[in-house]
Amino acid sequence: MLYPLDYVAEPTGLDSFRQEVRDFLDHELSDMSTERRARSWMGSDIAFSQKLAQKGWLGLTIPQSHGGAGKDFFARFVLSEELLVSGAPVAAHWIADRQSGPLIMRYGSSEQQAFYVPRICQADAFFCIGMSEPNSGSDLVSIRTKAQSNEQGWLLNGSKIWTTNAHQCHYMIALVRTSGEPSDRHKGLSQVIVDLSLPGITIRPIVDMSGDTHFNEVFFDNVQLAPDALIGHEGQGWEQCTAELAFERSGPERIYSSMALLNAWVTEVRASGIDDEETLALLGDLLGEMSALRGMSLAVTQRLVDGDSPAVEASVVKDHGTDFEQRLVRAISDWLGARPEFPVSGELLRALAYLEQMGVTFSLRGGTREILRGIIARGLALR
Amino acid sequence: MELLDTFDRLLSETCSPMQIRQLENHEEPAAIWSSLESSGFLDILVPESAGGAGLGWQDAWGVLFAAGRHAVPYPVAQTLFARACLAGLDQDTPTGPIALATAVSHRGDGVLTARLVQGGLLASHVLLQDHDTTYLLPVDQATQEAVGGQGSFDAHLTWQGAVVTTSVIRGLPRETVSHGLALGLAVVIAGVSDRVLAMTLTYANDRVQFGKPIGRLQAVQQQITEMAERVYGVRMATQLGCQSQADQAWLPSHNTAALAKSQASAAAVRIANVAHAVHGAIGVTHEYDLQIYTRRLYEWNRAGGGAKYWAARLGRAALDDSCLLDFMRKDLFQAA
Repeated sequence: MLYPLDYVAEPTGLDSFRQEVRDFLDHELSDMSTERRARSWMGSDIAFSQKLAQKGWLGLTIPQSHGGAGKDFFARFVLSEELLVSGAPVAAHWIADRQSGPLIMRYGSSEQQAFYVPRICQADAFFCIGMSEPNSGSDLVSIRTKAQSNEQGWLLNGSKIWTTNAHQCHYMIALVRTSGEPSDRHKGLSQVIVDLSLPGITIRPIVDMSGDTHFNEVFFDNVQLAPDALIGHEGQGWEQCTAELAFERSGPERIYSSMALLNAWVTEVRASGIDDEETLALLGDLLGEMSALRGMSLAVTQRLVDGDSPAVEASVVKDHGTDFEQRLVRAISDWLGARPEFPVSGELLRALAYLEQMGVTFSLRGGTREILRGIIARGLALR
Repeated sequence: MELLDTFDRLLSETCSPMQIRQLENHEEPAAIWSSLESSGFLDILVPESAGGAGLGWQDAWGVLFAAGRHAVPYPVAQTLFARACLAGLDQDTPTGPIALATAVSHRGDGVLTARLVQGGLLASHVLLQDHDTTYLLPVDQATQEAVGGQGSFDAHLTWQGAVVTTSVIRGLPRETVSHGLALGLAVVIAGVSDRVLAMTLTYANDRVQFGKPIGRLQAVQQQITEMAERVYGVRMATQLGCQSQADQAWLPSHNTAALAKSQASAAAVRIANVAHAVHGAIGVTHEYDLQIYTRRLYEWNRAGGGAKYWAARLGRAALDDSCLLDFMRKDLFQAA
């Protein structure tokens, strides 16, 4: 069921942590262009991820026994917010930190936890997620990639596509079929950890329309996995996947994808002395909606702190949030289009162009708008 | 939330769709109001020193949300706030409903017109703030021009110079009334939106076409989920709006009031439109209850300043700050 999200205040006591993060970012990113910042959590810089790890800022919610900081989800919210608003290049570690680590802590064996999680916290293990396949996008349960049980463990065959950052990752957590046929739907699906350095794996980067290579096609040709590659229980893959998506969909990255553009635009508007009613109304409208979304994201964070798995509420925030992120890009594009005389910088225009091109993915990645709305409709008890 | 539930239960009995129809048909004008008056809820924002409950906007949120859920035609939010204002000025409070006004035209001969006074035809008085002057004007001495559609009590109200002169009271801080009106209306919009969503969900599950409930049709689901997102967004925006940072709990914070009304108004019409799209023709009939609630969404959207007006006020404040994130965190959110 879907419950309304009510305001919770950001806990006090995190201000000094926020300032520490901000000082670090101001120093590290001082010469970063707006157009690179606009990549947000799709921008990748392994050395930067390693520096964050040295600060102890990967695995913030992971227990100290496993190399994490043992902090709560509000601390993670603050860290994520500062990283995203500054446009920090976090892609290398983002998925491992956001969902693979928590997933292994929740469903993995103690051996898996001891092996992988400290590496994630040290930026020594980057993870990608193998869900979509060439013929299985939104209809995820129809996947055909198979891990067949054999004497040495699991024999993996098939392929994954649109795998973000696979070319820079050490491991993939893949959703695969371990029994039955595609027609069995949710039954017979499992999650396995795939060491991407194993023989039989080919990773082919796919160039996107902005010229970046952020996603990949990954082929498995008789890849032999050890028995302990399985996470959790055989056949539990779908349930684990759904829980993982609650982590993926709940964070503030669904609000701030276009923030670099908004910041750059406001800075240039202020510098030009423009303050007509229409401009002010646009700024106030965007800021107002962003605030409501931030409030809802904090409310979801509270549910995570309480130990719930607010999957439907997270879908509300993501769907609403991505709609906002896309609207922001259109609105600033329209605003500039109406003012050819405005002395806009090339840097802002390049950031805008990137977001115009890749903004369409905001409502595709992590579940399309249509799929999310189906989940929300069920949460609203439409039947 | 406790206040919400208590007031909600009271209104279920005293402000039903049937009772609203009677009021709109001028059949039984006093019943709804007298129950509100005797409930004690109208004095929740009044400081304890003046005999009220001394609560702030954060607590009033639940009461106003419930008032919105029941589409109370009287200016409840306005009366709550006006009573606090008057108590703050050590001014005697009249017993009837008090409307708020900020849009004013002056004529050379002292005649004053308050435009589009929401609920003005049901009010006994209007608390009006025009720049540095505050008035408490008796509605029975005004020329009244109804300016709403069917069932509306909105009006232009005009007073002669002699009445205007004798109605001046001590001054409130600048723009107090406009922000209180905006915030109050934003919360009742959130409340009535919640009702309209609930009715839409019920209808979508009950109404069968093509051999199944229309709520199972993806095209309908897509619209309703978008509507639900807007309803939840408005709820959150108004909760942000009700955080009081002022010394006196009944004074609204200007920036968050602007946030609340701009977001509530921006979503109100979309919410009403989806509700009507899902309900089809039955939704626009006088007999069916939906219109009792959606009519208010259209009225409250414009009243007291609409989305763009308040967004521009918020935008002005944000533009003056050099960091958007910090403006949002410090001016629009409050630390626990």
